[in-house]
Amino acid sequence: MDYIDYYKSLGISKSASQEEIKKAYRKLARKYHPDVNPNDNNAHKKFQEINEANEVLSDPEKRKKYDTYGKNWQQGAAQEEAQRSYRQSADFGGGQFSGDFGGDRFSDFFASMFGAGGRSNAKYRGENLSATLQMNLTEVFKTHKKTITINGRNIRITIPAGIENGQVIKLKGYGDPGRNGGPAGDLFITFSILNNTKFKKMANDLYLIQEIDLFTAILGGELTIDTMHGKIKLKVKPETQNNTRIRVKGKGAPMYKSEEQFGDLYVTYNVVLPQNLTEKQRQLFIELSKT
Amino acid sequence: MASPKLITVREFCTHHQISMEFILQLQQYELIELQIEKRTYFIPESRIDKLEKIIRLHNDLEINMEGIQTIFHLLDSLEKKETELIKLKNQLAFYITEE
Repeated sequence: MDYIDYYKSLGISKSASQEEIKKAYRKLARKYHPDVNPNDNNAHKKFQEINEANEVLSDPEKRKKYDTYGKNWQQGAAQEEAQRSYRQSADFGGGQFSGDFGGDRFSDFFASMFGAGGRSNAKYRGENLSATLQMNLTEVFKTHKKTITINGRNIRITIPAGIENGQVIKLKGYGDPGRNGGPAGDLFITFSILNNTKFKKMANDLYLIQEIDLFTAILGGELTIDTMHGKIKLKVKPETQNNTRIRVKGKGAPMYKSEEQFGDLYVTYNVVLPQNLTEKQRQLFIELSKT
Repeated sequence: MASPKLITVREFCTHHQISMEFILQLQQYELIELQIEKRTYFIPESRIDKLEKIIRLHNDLEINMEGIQTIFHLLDSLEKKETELIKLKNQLAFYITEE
């Protein structure tokens, strides 16, 4: 647990007046308020920091205590804690509340110096949390449930089919718990979809470059390709040109939240010319070129 | 389709310890839409999030109605831009050939 310089947090001098503290807090709060910085964890942390600094410095009693102990706050806190324990045992444990404040609006430093009772009783909404979830492209083809761990808490979420790379899902009430009965914050999950397939994806459509030999391109034929939906047979028309693109309906990626509707698959033929011709084959090509 | 759940403005104001005038003022500034049924004002449950956000901005940062309007306009615009950016990044990935 490190000492926190609240004056530094607000960018003010130790002799700052209440008006200067208020002004500095307002200025920074406007800049870092979570509602004007959605999904910005750094801004949220900074807001907690300035909020805590304001909570201490704007209260003359707390400020006095903070100024008195300064960097020796640990000794002071220990002394205060001893006194508090004595009072609580005398009062049969009548403290306001206690518990694990991980992810709370206030730091351990604050809790150690001012105790739980040092906090105001105002209802506060818990902080919003953000997380990134990495998935493979193959996983987005079906809606499925996944358990994720956020701040030591297991959360079972349903991931709809067709979720896009970079898409954000909001889970209401799964953020940090509220304070003094305030509602919990929300959890924002950003999906990072890793494409480890041979397909390229654009919206709900998939794209594939398929090599075909010269003879199939000229004479036509049939070929079997692997798609995300299994193997399919394609008929190649005679005299198919290089870079010809065909559309295979409904063999693309699923549309968001609808497992049964899919985009299309576009297959581009890349005609591969034969190499290492035998003398006979070379002669046949010469013959062909003269026709 | 189920009709949206409605919360009376009175109930909301009591819970948040704010005046009804404040909510009516937000309506005048077109920051929220209220429903009126049998002379009672209601807030659709789906709009509570936005309304609570407005209250926080007003109370925490002492921002007036014009300021809140501006913030929401900019946040909307930011959200649209972020969505567009993700879309464009995904499109760009399509053209980048991995070696």
